[in-house]
Amino acid sequence: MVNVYCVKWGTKYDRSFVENLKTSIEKHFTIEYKFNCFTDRPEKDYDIPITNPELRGVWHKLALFQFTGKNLFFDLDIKINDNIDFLTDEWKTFTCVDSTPWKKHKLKTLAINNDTLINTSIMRWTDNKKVFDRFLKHRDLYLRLYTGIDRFIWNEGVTHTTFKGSAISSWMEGIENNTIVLYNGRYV
Amino acid sequence: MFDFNTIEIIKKILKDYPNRLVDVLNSLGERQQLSKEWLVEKLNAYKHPFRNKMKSDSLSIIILCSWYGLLAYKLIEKFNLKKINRIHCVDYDPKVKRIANRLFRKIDNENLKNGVLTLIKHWERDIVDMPEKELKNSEILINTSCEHLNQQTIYDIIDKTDRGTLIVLQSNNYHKIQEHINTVKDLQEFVSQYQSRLINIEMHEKDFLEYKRFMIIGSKR
Repeated sequence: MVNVYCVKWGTKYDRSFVENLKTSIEKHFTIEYKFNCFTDRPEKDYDIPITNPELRGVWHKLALFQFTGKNLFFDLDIKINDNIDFLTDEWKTFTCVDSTPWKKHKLKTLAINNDTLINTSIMRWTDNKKVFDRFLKHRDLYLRLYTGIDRFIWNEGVTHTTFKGSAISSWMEGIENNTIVLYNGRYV
Repeated sequence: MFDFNTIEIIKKILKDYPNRLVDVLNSLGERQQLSKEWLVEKLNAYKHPFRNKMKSDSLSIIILCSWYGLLAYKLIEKFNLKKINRIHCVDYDPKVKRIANRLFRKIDNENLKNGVLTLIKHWERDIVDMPEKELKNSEILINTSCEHLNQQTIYDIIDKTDRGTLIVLQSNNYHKIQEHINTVKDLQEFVSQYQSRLINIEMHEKDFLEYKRFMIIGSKR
């Protein structure tokens, strides 16, 4: 059984984004799973209340690492167009998306901006509890240094790999008909 | 027009710690400088006998959450109540010591040349792990980041200090910053948090347009 998560915090995304994601996954994922929405406003039976109310926005994605087992996470601003069973091919290492294709032009300024060449719009993990514990211990420092969890993971040397193949793209590459398309940074 | 020494320091930080350059510049920004100078100015004006603990004519200071150590150097430059023997800068960031050495090396050398012998020691550890002995051996305890800390953590540290220790605390009402988990509504609320632990409390407030910074200076009961 795979636990599928999304995070809905605050008012940036309304409930329709969660419902759209849920419907897409029902259509394109054939492996046994349970859908969960980690949220500060639980109202549906698939909602799980957030566990760390002191955190804001994307940092609740990191709080999902307290859950162990076969876990998949999706941002709400993605579009699934075809079968996504390939996301469960391997569970050894924490896996996220390679953002090099749309960040090549930022290579020179990567370090100075604490930027990253990974993207966490989709994540796969089994046990990343230590990562979240580490973050909580020195949360203040990490919140000061990094504007999001992608940067935290990359710059703090969290062990990770990226999904293989070319089935995931970002709208920033000008590709909008792939198996999964990320609309990262489109809704602000 | 430009201070070449400062430019050289920035170049070195950029070379050795590129991902910290913005953070370093933030730590030295105008508001940081103003807040720290304001603290030293008010501290200089505070009437404190130091009679309970002073064994010599110089004193020891602990700065909690000291970042890269700007306040320590402001104290060396402008504090005039007593000589400072030693300043402990406590911050759990594992890079502060190395970066502070880059930033302040020239000032350290100049101080030494001018006979200023204050020892600045960076402790890269969590403030809750600060040995009680060090807290008891210090005459002044400063924390300018109360808004970043759990209230109980601040109480626990103050409770470990000796009676008569001079305590200087700053917080603010800048609620929208994510790291600020313990802001206060106003100066009165800030003071009320410490009335059971401090006496002879002086209260100060500084307006930074988007928010207000609050400061209290008092003696440990």
